[in-house]
Amino acid sequence: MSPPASPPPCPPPCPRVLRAETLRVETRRDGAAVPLVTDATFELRTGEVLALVGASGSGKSLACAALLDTLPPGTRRSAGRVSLDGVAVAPAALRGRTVASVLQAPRSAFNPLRTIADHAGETGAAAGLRRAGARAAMREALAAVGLGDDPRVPDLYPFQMSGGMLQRAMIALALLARAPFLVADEPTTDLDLVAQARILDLLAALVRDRGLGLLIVTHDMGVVARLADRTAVMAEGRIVEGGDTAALFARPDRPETRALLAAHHALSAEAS
Amino acid sequence: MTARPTPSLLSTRDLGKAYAGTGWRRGTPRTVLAGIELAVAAEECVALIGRSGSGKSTLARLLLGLERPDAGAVRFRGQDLAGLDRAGQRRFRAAVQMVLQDPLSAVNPRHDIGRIVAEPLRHLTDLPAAERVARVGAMLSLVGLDPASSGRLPGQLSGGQVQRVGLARALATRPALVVLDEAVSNLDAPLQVEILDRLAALRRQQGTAFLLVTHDVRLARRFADRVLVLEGGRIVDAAPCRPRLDLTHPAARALVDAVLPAYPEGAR
Amino acid sequence: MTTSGSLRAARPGLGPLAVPGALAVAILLLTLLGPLAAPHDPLAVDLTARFEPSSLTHPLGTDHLGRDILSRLIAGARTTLGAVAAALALVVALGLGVGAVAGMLGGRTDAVLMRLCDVFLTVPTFVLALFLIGAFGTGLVNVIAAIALSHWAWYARIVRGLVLELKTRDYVLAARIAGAAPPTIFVEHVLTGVLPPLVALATLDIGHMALHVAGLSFLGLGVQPPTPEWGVMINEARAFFWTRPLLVVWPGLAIALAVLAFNRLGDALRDRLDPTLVAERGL
Repeated sequence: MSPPASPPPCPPPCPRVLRAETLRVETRRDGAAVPLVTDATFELRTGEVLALVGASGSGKSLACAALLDTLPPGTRRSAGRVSLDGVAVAPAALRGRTVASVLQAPRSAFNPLRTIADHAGETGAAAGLRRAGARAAMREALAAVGLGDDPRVPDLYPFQMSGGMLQRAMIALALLARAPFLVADEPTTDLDLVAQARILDLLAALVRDRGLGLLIVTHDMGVVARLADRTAVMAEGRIVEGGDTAALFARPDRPETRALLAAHHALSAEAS
Repeated sequence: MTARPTPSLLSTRDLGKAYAGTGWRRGTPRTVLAGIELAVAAEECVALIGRSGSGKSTLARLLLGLERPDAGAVRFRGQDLAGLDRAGQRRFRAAVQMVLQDPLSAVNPRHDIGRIVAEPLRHLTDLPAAERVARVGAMLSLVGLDPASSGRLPGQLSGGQVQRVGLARALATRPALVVLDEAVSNLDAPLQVEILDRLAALRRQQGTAFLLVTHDVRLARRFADRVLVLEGGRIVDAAPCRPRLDLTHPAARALVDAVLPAYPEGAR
Repeated sequence: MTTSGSLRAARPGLGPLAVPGALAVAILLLTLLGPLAAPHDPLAVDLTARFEPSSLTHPLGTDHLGRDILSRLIAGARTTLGAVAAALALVVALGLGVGAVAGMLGGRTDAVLMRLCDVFLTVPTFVLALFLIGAFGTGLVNVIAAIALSHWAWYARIVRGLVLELKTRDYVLAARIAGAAPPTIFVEHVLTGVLPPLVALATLDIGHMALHVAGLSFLGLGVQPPTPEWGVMINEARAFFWTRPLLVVWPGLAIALAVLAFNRLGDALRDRLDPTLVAERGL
C-alpha cells in the first residue's frame, strides 16, 4: 500500500527526517528464506509521533528492529535502506546518538547489580559526557521523566523500583543521549493502565517540549489514539495502510485496520 | 457481607495475607491483603480490578487454595477450605479453576495440547480415557481451536492460541467458577473481545461463574456484572457495571481515568 | 516473533556425538561381551611365553606371567566399568531421591537433608575408601561404596537446585490447579527437566570414577590380582617399567581413552540435552 504521506513544505526550523525504505526481513526455515517483513517504508520526523500498529505476529517489532539493526538472532535484513535527512546511513550508526530506544520489558533491560546512576554513567560516557556534566545531565533527565523529586532514585537498584518507575528511568537514559529520535517498542505492555497512561503523557510531553521524533510500536489502538500523529498499520509483514491518525480512525480502508478498530471500540464503549 | 440463606459459591471472611521480609534485612512481615470480604454467587461474573501490586494475584491464589491465608478463611459452598478432606479438596479443585496470565509459560513445552487439556480430567475426574479424549476435543472447539490440534506442541501455536489452550484446560472439568488472573490482558484487542464473548456465551449456556482479575477497566466493564476495586491490599470500592459503572474511590477513579481515548483528538 | 527456523538450524546435530559416541559404544560393547570377545583366557598363565612382543596370536603381546594383554584389557574393562556402573547407579538413585524429596517438600525436610549432604560433601573419596578398607578389608564392593558415598551428595544438591528452579514455573502452578499431587507433578513436569542435565553429568563422571576404581586398585586397595583390572595391570607392570614400558602403556592408554570418550560424550550430551535447547526443539 501507499507509504505514509510525503513531508509537507518545510517550516523553519526544518524537521529532521529518518526514513526507512523497502525494508525486508527474512529468516531461514528448512533451508528456504521466509520473509517476515516485506517492503516496509516509513518516515519519522522530529516533533511528531508515528505509530506502527498491528496484531501480534504482524512484523511491527521486526520492522522497527530492522530500522536500528537490532534484529533478533536468526533473522536478517535482506533489502531496503535507511536514510537520515536524505543521506543513506548504516542503521547501526544511528543507535544511541541519533536514535535512542526504549524496550518493552524494563526489568530485563537493566543490569540488576547496578544502580540507576551506574547505568546513567555508562550511557553518558557512550554519549561523550564528562563525569560532572554526566551527573547534572542525569539529574535533568530524571527530572524530565518525573523521577527528580526523590533524591534516592539515582542510587536505587532495579529491583527496588516498580515497573512504571523503571520504564521512566529507561526513558531518562534514552534522553541522556540527547538523540533527536526515540523508538519505543511496546513501552507500556508490561505496565498497568494507570502507569501506562502516565508514561504516554510523559512521551507526549517530550515530543511537544523537546521536539523529539517518536516511533511507537503497539498493538493497542488506544495508544495510537492517545499519541500518534501518523499511523502505519501492519499485517503479515506488510504495511497495509498508513497516514494521518484521525483520518485512519474516521475512514479505515483495509479489513485489518477495521478489525483492530472494531475491537478497540467494542472495549471502549460505555466509556464514562 | 451479611449471612445468606444459601451459601455463595466462593466467599472469604476477613481474609489476610502477609509475607516475611526477604534478603539480609528481614524486617516486619509485609501485609499484602487485609480484611478481604467477598462473595461470588453461582452464575455470577465479578471483576476484581486494581493496579499492579494491589494484591490481586495474591488474592486469586488464596481463593484457589494455592496459598494459606494468615488471617480469616476462604469458604467453598460454605465450607472452610482448610477443613476440606481429600475428597472435598478434589471436588473444590474440579469446581474452581484458574487461567494464568502468561500463556506460554503456563503450559509444559514438552506436552502436547491434548495432554495439557486432559491434565485436570486425569486428576480430578473419573472419566475413562476414551471420554477424556472426547471431552478434550469438545473443549478445544469450545474455545475456537481445531480439535485436530491436540497432537501439536505449544511452541507450534501462537500466543493467543496457547491462551485458548489454557482456557480449555480450565474449562475441562466443567467448573462452577473460573478465575481469570489477567488471562486476557496481554492479548490484542480483537482476541480479547473474541475470548470474552466466548466466555460470556459459555456463562449463558452452562451457568459458569467468572472472577476476572485485571487492571483494565475496559475488560471488566465489558464482561462483568459488578466490580470490586482492590488497593493496597483492601477492597476500597464496589459497584455494579450496569446501567453504568459508577466508582467513587480515588484509586478506582484513577483506573477509570487511565482508560485511553476511543478516538484521536482531531477526529472526535 | 517467528525465529524458530534459525534456532532449528543452530541446534547441534549428530556431529559432536558421533566420534566419542562410537568410541564409548565400542568400549561398552567390549565390557558387556567381556571374556567372549577376548581371544584368550585372561587368567591363563603360560610361563614359557613371558613378555612376548605383538604377534597375530597376541596382538598386544603377553605380560610377565605370559597372559594375553589384549584379553586382560578387555576383561579389565568389564571389572573397571562394571564397578563404575554400580557406583553410578547408587549415586544417581540416592542423589535423585534425596534431591527430589528435599526440593519438592522444602522446609524442614529440605534443611535436614541438605545438612546431611553437607556432611557427605566434606568426605574425600580416597580417605573414605581407606577407612572402609581398613574396617572391612580390601575388595571391589568397598571401593564402590566409597565412591558412591562420597559422590551422591553432589548429585542430590544439583537435583534439588534444578527441582527448586523448575518448581517456580507457571506450568507447575497450573498442574497444581489441575489437581496433580506433588509426586505426580515431579514425575510429569519436573523430572523431564532434571534428567537431561543429570544424564550428562553422570556420563561426565564415568571417566572420573573409572580413574577412582583404577587408582584405588593400583594402590592395592580395590581389585586384587590376578583379577584383570586396568589399575591392577599398571601396578603389576610397574616392576618391569624400565625394561617393558609397553606393559604400563597399554592399560594406561585404555584408561585414557575411556575417560576421554566418556568426557566427550558427556559434553556432547550436555549440549544436546540442555533444557533450554530441549524447550526450543518444541518450536
